[in-house]
Amino acid sequence: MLGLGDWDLDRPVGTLAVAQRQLIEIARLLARDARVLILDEPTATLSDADIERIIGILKGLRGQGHSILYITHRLGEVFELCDSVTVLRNGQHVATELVNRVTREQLVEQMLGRSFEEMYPKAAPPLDKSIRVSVEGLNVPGALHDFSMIVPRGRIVCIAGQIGSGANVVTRALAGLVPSATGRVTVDGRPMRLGSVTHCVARNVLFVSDDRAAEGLFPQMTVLDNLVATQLGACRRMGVLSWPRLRRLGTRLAERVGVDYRRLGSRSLTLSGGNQQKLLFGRALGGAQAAVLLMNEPTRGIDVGARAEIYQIMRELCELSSALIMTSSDLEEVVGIADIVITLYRGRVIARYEGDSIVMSSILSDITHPTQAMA
Amino acid sequence: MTERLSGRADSTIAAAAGPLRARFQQAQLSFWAQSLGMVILLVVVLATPGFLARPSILSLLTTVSFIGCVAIGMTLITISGNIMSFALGATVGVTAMVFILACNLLGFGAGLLVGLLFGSLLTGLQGLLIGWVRANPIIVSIAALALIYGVTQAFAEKGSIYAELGTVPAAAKGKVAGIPIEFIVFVLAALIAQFILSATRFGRNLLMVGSSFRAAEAVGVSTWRTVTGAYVWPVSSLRLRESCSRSVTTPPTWTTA
Repeated sequence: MLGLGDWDLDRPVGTLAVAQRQLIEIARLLARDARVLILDEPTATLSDADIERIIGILKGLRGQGHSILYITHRLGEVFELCDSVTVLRNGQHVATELVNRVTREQLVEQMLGRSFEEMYPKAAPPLDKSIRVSVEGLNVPGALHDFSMIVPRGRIVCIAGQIGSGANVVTRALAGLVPSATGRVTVDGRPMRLGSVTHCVARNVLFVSDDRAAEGLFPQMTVLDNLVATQLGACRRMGVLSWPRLRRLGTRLAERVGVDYRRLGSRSLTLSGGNQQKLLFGRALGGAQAAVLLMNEPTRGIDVGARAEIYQIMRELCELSSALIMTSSDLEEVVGIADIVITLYRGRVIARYEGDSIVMSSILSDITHPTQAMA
Repeated sequence: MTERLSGRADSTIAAAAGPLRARFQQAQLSFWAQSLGMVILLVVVLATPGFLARPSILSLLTTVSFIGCVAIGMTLITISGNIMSFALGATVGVTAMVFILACNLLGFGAGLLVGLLFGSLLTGLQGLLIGWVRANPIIVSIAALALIYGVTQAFAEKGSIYAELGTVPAAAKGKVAGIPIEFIVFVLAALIAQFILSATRFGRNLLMVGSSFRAAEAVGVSTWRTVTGAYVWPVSSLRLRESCSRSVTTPPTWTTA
């Protein structure tokens, strides 16, 4: 039924890919003869190909008479899989509609509680157009070839590419997380050493991982600890941490990113996915100087409302002359939020788009079937 | 039948928890188990003749102080996310031997310094292997234990090493207001460890590394330095305690006794 017939039944589940584990869970439900399946964000951490497989299987189950209660923040899945949709916001029932009687824009507005246009805040003209980050000849063996770009102050540059294109390798290399990376990188005209996270953080180049749970948060530590993690050095007096200063800073950062400051003492683990992601952005607001923020999939696994808030924070960072470099597999997000888009295919730059030339069809074409490499 | 599938692959199928089951949640069971243990201990204490007598209490404080110092050192290692070190006790033993030999040769002050340096080097190397090379902490500590034990036995030939009379100052062996120096040192070590954890950048970095090694790396914490530091610091506290030891006799087989 699920296409698992050729699987080795003695293989430990821990060695399977995440999508395969999801299929195991679905199979377990079917083995118990479940007629109603409740699936809570089953595709949140999956690649597009895996999502397609899961959706295909769920469609098959629907056809066989199983009822499915599907919880998701991915609107594409709602329109592809569901017959009716119910929108909840802040614990309140907003609407229940037949999917074929509602548009994507209406659904987003119901989820946000405001107009669709407000999802992606408009970019203000930057006061300072000087170059913040310059990358020349960035190479990572087997992943990235001769990547170059220029990032002006106050702009959002999105590197678009499929999984394996090397897009996320660019941000990881610039964050100092790829020891084998080579190339010339300058921040504010000063050379930056690759391969050293400590050096990058000292230059206020900060990284927001796509794997929030493993590489972003300190789950057992408090919201305050997470917010001020990169500012400990600045909040010391004679070598001793000043907790009043740390608390003041934490409160300020929490308010700026929209996290309830009364939860500064709570474990970050207890926050929602959206609020956890906001903590990572809060770190970038703590420094005395504008940050260079590197983000891989900055809105993965969070609801539409929190996404809108995060886009707002990104624009606020731009207004502070920060430079934002992000990767995203969500093309709608790429087109909505990026000021400059660089497309990648198999580790090579295909094209660079800016302003009105940022169009979904061109980007999609570049990252899937490139016809020419960028000169 | 209705089943629920979580987005996390490792999550379990949720089951409706009834009120009876809720009463026996793990946290509550843990609380009652601890309370029962405390009550049993109290009963045993009160039922044992002479247990609360002054000599018994002093003896207990002296013994507890040593175990406490080891526990403080082990706590820092555990907080750094490296479970524990099997070699900490052996390190204390061999460092005590070096301390005694250095005291006999160079005097108490220099002996203390040599002992501190030796112990720090020994644990620092283990920390370096774990923090920098990312070696398995259990394997490293077992290997260190075997090495220390083997080298010590070959060196001391199953004999004992004694401090010469008058080497250790009298002040390091007595009591303050009737409280053994060992216990005072233990309390001081605990306070210093707490201070380091809450009020220093190293302490916060240590908590970050223990909470998520990769996240700590991503925010620029020097993870290898932090882990090495977690391994070095315990020796300082342990040596501090050793320097105040009432008896400075340390047989080479002390760690396995």
